[in-house]
Amino acid sequence: MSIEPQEKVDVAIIGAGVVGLFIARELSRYELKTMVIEKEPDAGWGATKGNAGIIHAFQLPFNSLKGRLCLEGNKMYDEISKELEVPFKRLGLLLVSINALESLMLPFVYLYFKLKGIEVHLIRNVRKIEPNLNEKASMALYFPTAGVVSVFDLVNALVENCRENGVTFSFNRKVSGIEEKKEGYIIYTDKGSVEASWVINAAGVHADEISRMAGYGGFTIYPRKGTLLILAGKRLYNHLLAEMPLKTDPKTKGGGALLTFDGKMLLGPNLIEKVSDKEDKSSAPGDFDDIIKKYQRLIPALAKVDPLVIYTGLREASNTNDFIINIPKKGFMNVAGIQSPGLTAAPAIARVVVKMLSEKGLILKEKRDFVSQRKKRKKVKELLDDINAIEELVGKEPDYGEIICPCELVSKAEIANAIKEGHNTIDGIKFHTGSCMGECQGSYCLVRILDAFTELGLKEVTKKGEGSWIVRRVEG
Amino acid sequence: MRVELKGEVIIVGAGPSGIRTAWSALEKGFKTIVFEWDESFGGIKKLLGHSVKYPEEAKLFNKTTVVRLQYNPKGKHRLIALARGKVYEVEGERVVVATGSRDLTPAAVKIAGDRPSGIFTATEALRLINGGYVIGNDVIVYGSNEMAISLSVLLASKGYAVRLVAPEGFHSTLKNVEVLSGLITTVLGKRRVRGVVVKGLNEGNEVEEPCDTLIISRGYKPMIKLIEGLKVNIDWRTGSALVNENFEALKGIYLVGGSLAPFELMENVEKSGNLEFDTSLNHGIDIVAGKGLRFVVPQMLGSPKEFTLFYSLLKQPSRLFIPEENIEIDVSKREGYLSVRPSNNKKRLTVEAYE
Repeated sequence: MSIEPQEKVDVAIIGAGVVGLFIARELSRYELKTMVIEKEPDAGWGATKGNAGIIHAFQLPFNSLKGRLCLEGNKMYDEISKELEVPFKRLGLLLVSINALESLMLPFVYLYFKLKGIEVHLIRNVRKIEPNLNEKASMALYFPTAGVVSVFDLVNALVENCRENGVTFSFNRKVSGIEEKKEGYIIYTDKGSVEASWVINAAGVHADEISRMAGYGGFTIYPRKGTLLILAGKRLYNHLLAEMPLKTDPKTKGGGALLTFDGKMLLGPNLIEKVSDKEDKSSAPGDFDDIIKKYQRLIPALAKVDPLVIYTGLREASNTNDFIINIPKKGFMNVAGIQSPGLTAAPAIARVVVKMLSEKGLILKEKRDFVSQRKKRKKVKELLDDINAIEELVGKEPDYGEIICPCELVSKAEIANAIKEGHNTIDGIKFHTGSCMGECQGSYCLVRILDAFTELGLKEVTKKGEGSWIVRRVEG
Repeated sequence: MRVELKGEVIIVGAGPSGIRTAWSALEKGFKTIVFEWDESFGGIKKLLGHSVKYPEEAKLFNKTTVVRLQYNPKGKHRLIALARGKVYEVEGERVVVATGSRDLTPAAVKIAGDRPSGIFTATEALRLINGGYVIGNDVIVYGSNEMAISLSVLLASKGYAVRLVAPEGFHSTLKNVEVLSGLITTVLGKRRVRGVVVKGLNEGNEVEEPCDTLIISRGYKPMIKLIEGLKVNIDWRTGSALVNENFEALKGIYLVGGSLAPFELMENVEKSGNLEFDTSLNHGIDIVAGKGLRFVVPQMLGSPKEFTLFYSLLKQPSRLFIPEENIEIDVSKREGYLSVRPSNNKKRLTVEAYE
């Protein structure tokens, strides 16, 4: 049976992770019909969500694709954060030596990075800068360009900016097959098919399956699990911290005592290999002590701090252990194996992708009305130091005065706007508004958010889509 | 619309401790204003179905959230509160932070696994049930504190199938509640909870207990967002600011109830709301939580006068000692208070407990 495709586009991107989104934004500069297809109810729910938000200063080996695109991507983040109005801070990374051997190596490592053109400083008394560091810590390498970005804000901003520039999104839509046509491809999904002249595979851990659907089986994704702990309470350090590794592991940079963009302490990620289930995002009971103990070597006082959240992501590492960006056949492009530093590299990846597409015949005609500047949604929290501004906002839209989330100070108007924009799961609302992400993790506000859904006529609310029901309403 | 308000005592939070403080303030004849985030007063006590008496003379603003507190060491403090369509600019000589506590999260009690729906904290579950929602069918409540027990009984009375997993062993029986002992190490399920792994207390054998809902009631953390930006010193034991015998963290800024310390017992939450509204900022005597103590409040004294000392022990029952004052008493509860009158010449009081 053959069914006429419901939609026809120039470029279909499979996967609304940060890589797919940056590519979509780059393409939205041109006169093209671009669609992003995503199996989850919202953007950024795969490897993107499991990310620590770190914008890395470097990636070894320098001559790898990931190494080169990391450096390029890092440089782009100042402009991106300005254009997309996304919180981004170059906090800097301190690579700390704790024992004599590490201290001995440090000057050599310093010279190596210098030689490679990386901005780096040798710090002699690192405890002056970070007093809570282990007493044995003396020297450190300081990489000032390392930073942290709000991943959720970045994802939201990219989706909004893409939409404003004409990209369409199709969520809750799972690709089941890809058929090659004379000109382009037909993508079969659980919600009808899409015809596209170009297919870009940015499907994260599932990228090898998608590639095989299109008839190219040249690589395999071996997901590697990484678990992170967000800690409660006052932060004990102000830079990103990691211990000087004595030996580099090609599979991981070893995580660190990190910070989120809003200053919460974040430890990890660890590394678990041989993950057989690509949707397995479960942490293990031993992770808590393993992670805390590891970073207690850097900051001993971490022993007294409680975890607030534990979360696990899957790194979409490939068998090549490097990024795979190729066009194995006409009209089909793989952007796969985007493991760490994928978030850092993503904007640079997008440029490379568009350049390659153009070389292979995609016609790029610049739009005259491309909007590069995304205008951020209003957040009461960000206006609190200006009482006149709040008064004006609350005067115009009274719901901005009703605070639903007492920890992160999210108003009812912000929740309602997110619901109206189509974020129809609790996790979607959470990542979009920041509610449920503070100290109480939703203990106070969940009921109010559910009520807001009811007020807008949406009765069946799940946490993250099918099968994740939260509550039922008492009838009558 | 901007509204200006002035009061002698401004209380943030109309839960059990905030209400008690409002009564204290009115007794002293202070003009009192109370702000409450929720739809009405009573906090956790009301959620549990207990009656709460609110002092009518204290002006109450419901569904009004205090979003800023500006400390003024030389005079009146300023607050900003928001409500639907309204911005309140508030001025007051004394500000009481009665914002309560939050439950420990699943991660804080080291529960691993995926993050399916159907995991709630005790307060979250209570709020949902009071809001007219059914939270599941087959519920496991994890904890052995006052809240875990009240909640289990309440859920059973509403027709839920309830099991209580007590992490420290539990020897009484509860009506229609099956009691197990053990530690929950992992939650099972990707989309919705489908069970938990319970590790036995003694042998450490692991058993899978199927359920569709997990409620965590393993303790609390003070909610002190409002004073985070102020120059207060944090006591890692309470997770809140260090206070003197008046429960004052800064001049005229008081802490009570769950936001003062992670109290487990309602009677202590309420008791801590009885304020005299004295002020004594000279830091005279340190009170130190020694061996066997989880926390003490207050942690310092401005002057050696009689004061109420709240304690929380790591184990019960215990014998409580304050060696410097030759105090030695038996205590039957893990958390409580006693009256102490320190002698003049001490610089430090150490509170210790032994089994």
